[in-house]
Amino acid sequence: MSAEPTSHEPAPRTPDAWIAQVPCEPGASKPDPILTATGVRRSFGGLTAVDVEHLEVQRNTITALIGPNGAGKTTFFNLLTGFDEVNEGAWSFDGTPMRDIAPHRTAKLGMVRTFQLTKSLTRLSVIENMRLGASRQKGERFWAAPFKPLWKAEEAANTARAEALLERFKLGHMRDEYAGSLSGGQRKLLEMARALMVEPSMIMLDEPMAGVNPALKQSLLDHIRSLKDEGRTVLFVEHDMDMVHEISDWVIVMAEGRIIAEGPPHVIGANQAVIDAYLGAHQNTDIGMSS
Amino acid sequence: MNWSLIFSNAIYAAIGVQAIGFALAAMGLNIHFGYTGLLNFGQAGFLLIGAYSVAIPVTVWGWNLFVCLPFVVITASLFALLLGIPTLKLRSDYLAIVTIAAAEILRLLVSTPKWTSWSGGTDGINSFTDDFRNAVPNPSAQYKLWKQPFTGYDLWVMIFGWTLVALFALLTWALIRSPWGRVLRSIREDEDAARSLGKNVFSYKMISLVLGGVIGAFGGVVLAIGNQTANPITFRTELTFFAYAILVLGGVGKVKGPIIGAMIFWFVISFSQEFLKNITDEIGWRAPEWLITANNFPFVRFMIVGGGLALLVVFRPQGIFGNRKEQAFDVR
Amino acid sequence: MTIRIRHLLALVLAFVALAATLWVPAAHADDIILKVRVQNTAEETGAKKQPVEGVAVVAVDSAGNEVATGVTDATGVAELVVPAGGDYTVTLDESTLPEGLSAGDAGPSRTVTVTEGLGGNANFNLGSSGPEAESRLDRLPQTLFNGIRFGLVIAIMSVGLSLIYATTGLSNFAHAETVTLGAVVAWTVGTNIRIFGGTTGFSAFMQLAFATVCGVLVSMLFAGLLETRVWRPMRRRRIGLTSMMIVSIGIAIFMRYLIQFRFGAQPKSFPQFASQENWNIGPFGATPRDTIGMLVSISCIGGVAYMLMKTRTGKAIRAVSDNPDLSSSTGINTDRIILFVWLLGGALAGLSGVLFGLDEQVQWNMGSRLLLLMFAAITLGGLGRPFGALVGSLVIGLAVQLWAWLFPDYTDLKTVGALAGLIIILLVRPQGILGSKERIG
Repeated sequence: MSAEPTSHEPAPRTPDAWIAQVPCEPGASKPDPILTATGVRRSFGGLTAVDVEHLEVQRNTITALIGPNGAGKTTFFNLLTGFDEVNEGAWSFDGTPMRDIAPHRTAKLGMVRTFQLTKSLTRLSVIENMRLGASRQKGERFWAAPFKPLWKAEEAANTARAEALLERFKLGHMRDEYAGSLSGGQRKLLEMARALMVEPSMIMLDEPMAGVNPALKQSLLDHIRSLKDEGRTVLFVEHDMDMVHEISDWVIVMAEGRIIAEGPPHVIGANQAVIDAYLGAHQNTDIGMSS
Repeated sequence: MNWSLIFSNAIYAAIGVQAIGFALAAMGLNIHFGYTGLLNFGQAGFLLIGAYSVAIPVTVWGWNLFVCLPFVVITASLFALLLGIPTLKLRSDYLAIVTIAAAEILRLLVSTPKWTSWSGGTDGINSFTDDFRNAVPNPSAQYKLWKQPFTGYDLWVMIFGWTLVALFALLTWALIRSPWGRVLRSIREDEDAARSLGKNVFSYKMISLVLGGVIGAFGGVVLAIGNQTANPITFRTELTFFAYAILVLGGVGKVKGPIIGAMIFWFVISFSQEFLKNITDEIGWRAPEWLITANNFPFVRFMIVGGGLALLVVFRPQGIFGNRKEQAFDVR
Repeated sequence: MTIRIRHLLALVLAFVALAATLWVPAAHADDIILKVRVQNTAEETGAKKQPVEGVAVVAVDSAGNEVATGVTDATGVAELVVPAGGDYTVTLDESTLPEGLSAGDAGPSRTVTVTEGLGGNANFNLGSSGPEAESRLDRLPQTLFNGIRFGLVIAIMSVGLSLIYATTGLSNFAHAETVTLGAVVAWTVGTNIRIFGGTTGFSAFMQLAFATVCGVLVSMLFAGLLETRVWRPMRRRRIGLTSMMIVSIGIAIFMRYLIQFRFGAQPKSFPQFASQENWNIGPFGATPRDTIGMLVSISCIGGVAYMLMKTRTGKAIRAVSDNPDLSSSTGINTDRIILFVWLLGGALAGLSGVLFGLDEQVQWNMGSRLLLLMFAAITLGGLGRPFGALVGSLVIGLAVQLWAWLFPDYTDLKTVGALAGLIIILLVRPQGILGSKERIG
């Protein structure tokens, strides 16, 4: 799949069939959910950060999670992936109950997330960052590690896969540079590429577009679409409404910890509750990533 | 001014028992702090465990000294587990204080007069090295390194010690260049990033703690066999601080850093000690009394250590062999 | 940087301190003194370290010759003149020990190394010989009292450490040496710069006060210099906290050995106050020295608490502890606040050094012996919480004394009890007593 950085018209897509069947209400049931969450609550002192009654994410879709700043989107991500502890609630991923599962296990089970403030490992090279992402590496086991012949072939295979991904994300030429010397937008791409090395069933992107060069945005959107073609599910948080409109199949809106609306993009744009929620807060200007 | 004696003392110190013991201590710390980012301030405790895991079984249970060596691996691992299981989930600041506390508790326990029959109390345990002496050829032979005399026993301790250093260095090198080592380095920088990629951070940290602890324990073994004593005063917190100084000097996060660092460290310590002794004694030129006397010159070498460490961290934190870009300790 | 009066003052003080340390009186060319101190640490009297008078002591050299004899005076001290440096065995004549006291576990003899320039010290801590006059329970109030007293001294040391951690995130290993520095300077000034002539009573007290002020000022100066010359530039260069902590370790080692270099390795006491009679009130007993020390501790801590809660500076300190970036954007000059915290911390450390030196002795490693307890106290109380430091210190002080009360056979392990307790509490409640759980993400 080649990427063309030049702008083009979005390829006409027919909406997935299931969308027509699902009512546009918060907590709506989906025909084939990969993620189901019920009664998830997280408070800090007196402040309720997340209060999600019910949420289902349809398998093999691109779902956007939007809302004003402080709505609890990142906290929700943290809760789902085990990086934070819920006060109450339960959720399951692909049928497996996920509450109290350690974050590294949620990743192993197929839920991989990226971070709002990128966590590219600045003191490793780009290719090392990528190799790190590969799962089930024999070389990562302590007893096998000192003996290179045991993991040499696997490492070569992972490296080849990593290089291919880097090419797709236009980072191939930075392969041996320390990740610390990348720009903010490049680090975002690296983090996404690295997450893909894990081969997740569901990839959760926290503001993937922030700070990314507009010329690159289009190819990035194509990559995300291709993830859907590969059979993966994408859940992403974004403030870039153009992106949301362009590629999401379904949109979930959060405000003050609650889900206030759900539906396909064109429905959400006209939803009064959503407009109120946004007008109540400062409009977020995309300031890009500080490098 | 007896320069040849001063220099030969210093060179001997650079390759002698102290250097080996501290090299191993620093190599263990390199795994903890250099590669994994664990703030272990109780490395002295691991050395203590190594020394006493040899001294106690030999004197109390009549074991052969060489049989104690695998036992050292077991006791050091147990101590690491005991330390790690509760604390690796805490913030790094807590790990630092808990490790110092644990090492100090160990030291107080072996010093207490109540259990002298086991641990030798503050005098330590002093006669457990016969098996080693009997195992090596010509322990009483007299040799000389330039002007520095040493015995066959000393020679074999050094051979034993440097072999250990080489083996552990090889192991460290092989591990660090492997995917396992890569996970460690990612944990050092950002644990959550590692977790988000499916790595079980706790288990990696635990293994790192055990490995570095075992290496440190063997440093204690070398010190005990080499000095023919296992004594609590050796294993006070200051030992850990000196190990950190050595680590910073040589270069945190590099395999040869702690080794070369230890050699240079003990060269400098010995050199300054002998040099100052020379200028404060009755022979030859004598420094003015108000500046330095025969009683207080021993303290200057440690002033050098402290001042040197501070200056190094400020002006050349990567030490001799470190890589500035990979600057192993924090930009947090 | 323009030169201001305070810089000149600082320079003068530094010079005075340095000169004082150099001005230690030279050993008499003729007399080499072996000082023998006999004290009673038996729990029954309900007090620490009462001097024991009238004990005969003998010094025997390594060849077995008796070289000197003496009898301890009202301060419990006998000064024996020995002919040369070397090893001597000092033995108590047990028949001259007062009733109910014995030589204790360590026996009636000590081996002491005497050096020509510095002399030598032999300390005998007597224990009880007969059946216990008081039950364990009767000793409990005194134990608790001693625990609180010790805890207060640790509190003064730790509060500074805690404030420094709270405002800058630095675990300052050199704090221990600031404590020692204050004590050492106070001792040196007190012994060599005699403003108030007499050696007893009010005059001695004023001399001590003067010495303490000097000690506190030098500690403050030291801390302030470190902040302006070392920590602030490192913060500007965005050097990380771990690096700064390792620098503090380097400074600690340097200072520790510098002090040992200039002050000597032998412990020294404040002679006029070393052994005093107790004031006894009910089940509690304390020497005048300890009582005044306690009052000073309490008023200091009260002052700090008042400052933190009621003054603008205190509020600013709490703001910076909470969120330095936010504070500076609201107009608080964080650098000034941090400097204030360092100066305050240094002053308190120096003061606590003097108090501790009065309690025990002034020694080059007195601070570093307590460093671990200080860290334990602030961690226990909740990292970053100054009031936590107070609570934690009291707990540690009580734990140490209670251990000695519970396990009189294991008093040398009393620190172990406190440390083990710390570890256990951290497992159960990692944020410490007053800390709050952190938010992740």
